Amino acid sequence: MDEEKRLRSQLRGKLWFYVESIIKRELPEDVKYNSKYVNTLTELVYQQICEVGGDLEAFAQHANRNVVTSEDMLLRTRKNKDLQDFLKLRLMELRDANVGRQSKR
Amino acid sequence: MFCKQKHKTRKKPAVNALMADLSDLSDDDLESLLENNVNRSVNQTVTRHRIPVQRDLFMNVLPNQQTFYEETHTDVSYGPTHHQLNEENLDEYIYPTNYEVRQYQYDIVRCALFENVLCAIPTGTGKTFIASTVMLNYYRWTKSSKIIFTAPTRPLVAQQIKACLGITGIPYSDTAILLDKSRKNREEIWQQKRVFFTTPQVVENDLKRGVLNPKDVVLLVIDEAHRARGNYAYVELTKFIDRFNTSYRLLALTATPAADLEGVQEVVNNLHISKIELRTEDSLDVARYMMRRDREMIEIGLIPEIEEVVEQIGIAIAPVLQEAIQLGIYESCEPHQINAFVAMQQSQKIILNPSIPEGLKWKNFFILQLLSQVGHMYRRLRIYGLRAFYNYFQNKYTEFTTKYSMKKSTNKTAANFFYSPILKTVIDKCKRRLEEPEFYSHEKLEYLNNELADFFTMAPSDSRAIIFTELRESALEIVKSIDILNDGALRPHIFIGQAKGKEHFDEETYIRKNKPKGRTKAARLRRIEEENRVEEEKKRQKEQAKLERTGRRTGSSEEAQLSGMNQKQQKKVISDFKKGIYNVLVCTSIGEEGLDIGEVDLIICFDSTSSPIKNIQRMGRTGRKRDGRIVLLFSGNEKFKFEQAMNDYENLQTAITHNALEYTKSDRILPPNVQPKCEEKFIIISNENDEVNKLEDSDEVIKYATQAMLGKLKTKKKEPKPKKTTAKAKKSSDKTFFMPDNVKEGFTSASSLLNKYTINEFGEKISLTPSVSKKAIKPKKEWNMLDEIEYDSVEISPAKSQVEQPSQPHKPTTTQGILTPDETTNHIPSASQGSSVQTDSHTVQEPVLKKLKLAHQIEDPSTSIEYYSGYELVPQYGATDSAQMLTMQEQRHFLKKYVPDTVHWSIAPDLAKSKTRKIRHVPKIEEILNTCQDMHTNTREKIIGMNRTNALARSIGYNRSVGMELEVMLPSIVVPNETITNAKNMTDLLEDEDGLSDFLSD
Repeated sequence: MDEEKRLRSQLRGKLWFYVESIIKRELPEDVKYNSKYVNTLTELVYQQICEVGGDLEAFAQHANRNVVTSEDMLLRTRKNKDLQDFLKLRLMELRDANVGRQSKR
Repeated sequence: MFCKQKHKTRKKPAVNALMADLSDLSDDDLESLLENNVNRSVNQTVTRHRIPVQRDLFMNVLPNQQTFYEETHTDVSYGPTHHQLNEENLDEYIYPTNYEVRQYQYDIVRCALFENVLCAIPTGTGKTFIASTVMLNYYRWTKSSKIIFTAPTRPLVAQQIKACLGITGIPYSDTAILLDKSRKNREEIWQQKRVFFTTPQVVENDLKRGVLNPKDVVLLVIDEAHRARGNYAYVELTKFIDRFNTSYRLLALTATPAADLEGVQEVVNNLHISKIELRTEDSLDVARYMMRRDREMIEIGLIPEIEEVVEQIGIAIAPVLQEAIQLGIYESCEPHQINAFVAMQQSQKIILNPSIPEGLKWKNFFILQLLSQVGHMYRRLRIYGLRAFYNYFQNKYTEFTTKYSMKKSTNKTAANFFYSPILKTVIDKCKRRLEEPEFYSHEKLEYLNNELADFFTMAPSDSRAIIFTELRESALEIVKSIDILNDGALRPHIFIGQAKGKEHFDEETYIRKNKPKGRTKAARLRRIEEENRVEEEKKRQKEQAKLERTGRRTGSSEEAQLSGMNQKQQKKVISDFKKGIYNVLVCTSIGEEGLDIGEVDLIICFDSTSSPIKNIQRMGRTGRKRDGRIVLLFSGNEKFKFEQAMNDYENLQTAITHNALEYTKSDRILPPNVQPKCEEKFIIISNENDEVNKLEDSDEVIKYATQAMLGKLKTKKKEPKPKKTTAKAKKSSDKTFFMPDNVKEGFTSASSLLNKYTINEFGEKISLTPSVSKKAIKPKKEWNMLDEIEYDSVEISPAKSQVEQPSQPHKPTTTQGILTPDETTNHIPSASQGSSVQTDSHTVQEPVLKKLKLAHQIEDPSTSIEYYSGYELVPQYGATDSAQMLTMQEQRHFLKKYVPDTVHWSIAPDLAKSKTRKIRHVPKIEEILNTCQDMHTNTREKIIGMNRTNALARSIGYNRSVGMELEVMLPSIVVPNETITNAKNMTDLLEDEDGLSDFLSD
């Protein structure tokens, strides 16, 4: 349990780091943010990640696999068409890149 | 000219024909309300004629032009009258022959019976007789309609009573005199009597109060009708009556209708006159009956002293006048021609002019003010004499010098004038002259005295004389000068109005008030003491003066001049005058009109007014019963003014006779087929009425008349007590408002306006009749049941009902389909749950399905308890004691009365018993909500956690970001597997929860 806690806190820390960097990047010049805001945002993101992760695991299990694949993700985003399309696009790109790499060998 | 005829025939009720256009603005509703009310109908025909317009080169009509002009023809016609007429009397009208029959009276009476007439004949020619005759005839012709005689002042009213009742023999029992003294029984009097003598304000008030019904009036006689202008009571009165009744006769009496054509037109409009009967002294038919009136116009020159003063003042004021002329604020003229009125007008103009700078404005104003004062001085010098001038001058002089010496005024122009040496010498001379006892400050006075002396030596012993003048102090001076003659035959007294005299400028008071005051308490006390002393001193002086005055013969006159004469004093003087204690009365304008001074044989007008009405009124005081003599004293430009006034008046008369005025059509009142013939009859006056003739004093007449009216004449005993109490016990009746005929009166409750109609299945409006609600059995429609489904839980919704419902065979199958169980509603206890549990035991529980049914339900007659929404009323609301809830009784009452059957009363939720819970979200959402809320909270743990995470983030960033972009590097995730295998780290892990040591050791 301690490990879990430790992991969790480490994860959160890292997540904070990235959330803050995204905030820094995305906010316009004159807008300031405080740490409470980052904290809340990190929590939200963390929650979302956990939930999505749980769903993906469930889907994978449902498909009798023990590896989560992109198909699970696409299933997860079935309700959000735009996001799904975006992910599909991204998948295509990655596949092309992978194919390229494999073909190089 | 192409003529387009456009006929607009509209019924315009209650609208004066001359003002028909106004009705365009009235509501249709208003019109329809007033439609059937008055019997005057106005037909308006508008004819439009085209007029040529200007066009431009392209044959387009230029804008802003009138392309037509309208001609309006109005036709006024009257319907039949609403008054009840005595058929048998209609064939004739009575003309009393108690007095000599005069042709003009005969003619005027004849006209006045059928039209509204303005009777403008000279004073003393028998207007009252005409009025009385007309009144008598209308009294005979109508059964119960009312006749009102109005005069502006009470003494005049009294005069007329005497005349009317003494001549015509209208029985006392039917007449009433209403002066504003007492208001009790007023309503009774209006109802019981038929002929009223009153002042117009009384009638106006009683009409507005609703005490008098305007429809009852059939004849309105207006005395001194030239006052019917503006918003005087006469005008208001006729306007008010017109709203409800146009079927009444108006007879207007006056000696002088107005001074100009507009004035006369206004009177004609306000009183709806159809005809003016105009006679003057020169008219042949009137002159026959009038006594001789010698009119003598004497031109009197100015005594040399006056001339001298005039000149000297002229010299003194010349520089100021020059300045004024140069500044352009006064017209160029000679100093002695300065006109006070013009100067005042100019000064007013300057004050009102906003474009002049302030300093200049006031300088000019003061100049003009001074000029106006000088003008007044001139006027007094010329017309009233040296003394009047001297008093005025002294007053102004002291006022100015005091103010100036105290530096309250810095008027240099006035200073130059008042302090000039010329003025000083002239004033001193004046003063010395005036102190001489035999000095006449004006030649007029000398002439006046001579005239009076001559007159009274030759005249019979009961002759009287009146002298008219405008100024009070002039009147006093005249009295004094007559008195000095010490002629026993001449006993003068002053006669002025009630107003208190203008306060003379009191130098001492002014100085005391305005000198620099000490602010210390001692100073204040001293001041107060001084004031009191001075007050006392003054009082004593006044007392002394009074005592001295009583010793003198002219004492009371002097007294009067100082403080005005109130009505009591006036009456006393008049009665003394009539008795002969005084035989010369010196009056101001109050004596011209309105007061019953009686007959005199000599009239002297000390000055002349520029109002022809006033002149004529003055001169009308004589020449009635005996020959009279009028002497007019002119000096200065008075003659010119007088002649001009009289000429204007004559022109006015001719204009009137040549139809320069617009008249209105009158209601004939009598049916058109009736043509009464004249019957000259000698009226036998009852003894009571004859008593009136013997009374002289107007007050006595009023008293007598009041007594007669109250029925006290015959029996001189005291009224028995029971009679009084019954009179008192009579309740005052409700205030009546006189409304148009077809108006619903009274209050209606809002509920009676509601719920009258409903829409049946065809969408038609059907009225709800009260009989529906009287049924004992009420079929119910449960529309409102659907509202409560959400509160029902699956468990509670009864699948079966305990009552036999023959009309529902398939309820079980459909029950499930209706409610979709939602996990969220499961744990919510429904509002109905609690109550339905309660009611389950002893009432019929109507099932959910039943609520959806649209069919009527036949109530089980055995159940006597009423149902509303399936829940019994009693248990729920019997227990609760909240103030907002209605008691059972009140509810039942409300339901019966105000809620028709088609609308159901759905009971408000039982707030006392309902348990509401907050519905929780899914855990995921809860988390989000919590995190968002945490942003606002400052709990210590949360803050610490936040800071820890922050520190981790920083360390990661710092560690990995040496010389590199943060975003690019992906930190490795410490996976649980790795940490477990690495035993070395375990101890670290145990200590360091957050794993910060990982990074520190790096």
